[in-house]
Amino acid sequence: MFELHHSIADIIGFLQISDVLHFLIPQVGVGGGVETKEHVELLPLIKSTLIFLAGVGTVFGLGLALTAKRFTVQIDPRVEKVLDVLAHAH
Amino acid sequence: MEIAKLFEIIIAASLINNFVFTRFLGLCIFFGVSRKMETAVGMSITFTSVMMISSALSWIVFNYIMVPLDITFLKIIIFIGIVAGFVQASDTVMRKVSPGLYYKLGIYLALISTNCIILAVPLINAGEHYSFIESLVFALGSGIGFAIALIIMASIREKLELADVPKPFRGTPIAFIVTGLIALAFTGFSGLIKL
Repeated sequence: MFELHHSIADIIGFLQISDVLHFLIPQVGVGGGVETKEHVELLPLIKSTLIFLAGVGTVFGLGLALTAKRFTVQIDPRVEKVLDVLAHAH
Repeated sequence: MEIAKLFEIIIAASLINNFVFTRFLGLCIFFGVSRKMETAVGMSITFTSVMMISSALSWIVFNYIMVPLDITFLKIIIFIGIVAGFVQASDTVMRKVSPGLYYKLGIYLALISTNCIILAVPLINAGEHYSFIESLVFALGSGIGFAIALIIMASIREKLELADVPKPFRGTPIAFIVTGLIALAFTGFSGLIKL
C-alpha cells in the first residue's frame, strides 16, 4: 500500500502538472499583455471590485433610466392596432 | 514624429492588421450586412462613430478608475457594459432627437453592441498601453478598416448576384471563399511598416 502511494506520487512528480497547465492555457490573445504579480491582497481587492461593479451598475442604470424618461417617444396606440390587422411576415 | 506615429497606427489598424481579413473578428456582422452596398455604407458610418466614442469612454474608465484601483482583470466585463450602455443610450436619444437618422441607422446600432471588434478595440488599447489620442486614432483606423472590408465585400457580392455560381456555393459559401481570397490579398500589406 505504501509503495503504491509512493509510485503515484512519483508519476505525478514525473508529469509535472505545472508544465502541462502551461501548455494547455494559452499565453497570448487579443490584447495580450498579462501582468503578473508575486502577491495579491485578496480582501481589499474583492472590496474594491464589489464597490466598483456596484458603482458602474448604479451609474449605468440611473443614466439609462433617466435617458429613457427624458427622451420618451410617444407612440400612437392606434399604430399597433392597425399593424396587428395588417398581414404579418412572421 | 507624433503625427507620423498616429498615421502608422491608422495604416496598421486599417490595412495591415485589418480586423476582418487578418484577425478574422466581427465576421457575423461582416457577412450579415455586406449583401447590399447601402447597408454596408450605413453600417460602416455607424460602426466607426460608435467605436471611437466607446473606446474613448473605455479608455477613461480604464485608466482613471481601473488602473488606480488595481482591478484591470475586470476589463472584459466592464468594456462590454460600457459599449452596451452607450449603445442603448444613444439608441434612445437618437430615436427622439433625429427620427430620420434613427430609421436609417437604428437597426445597425443594436447589431453593433454584440460585435467582437467593438470589444477587441478597447482590449487592445488597454493591452498596448495606448494614450488617449492613440486609442482614438486606433479606433478610427479599425473603423476605416472595417468600412473598407464591408465596401469591398458588398461590391463583390452585388456582382456575384449576377454571376453563374455553382448551385451548392450560392449565397454565403461563395462569400466565405471570396473573403478567404481577399484575406490572402491583404497579406500583401504585411511588412508595409517597420515598427
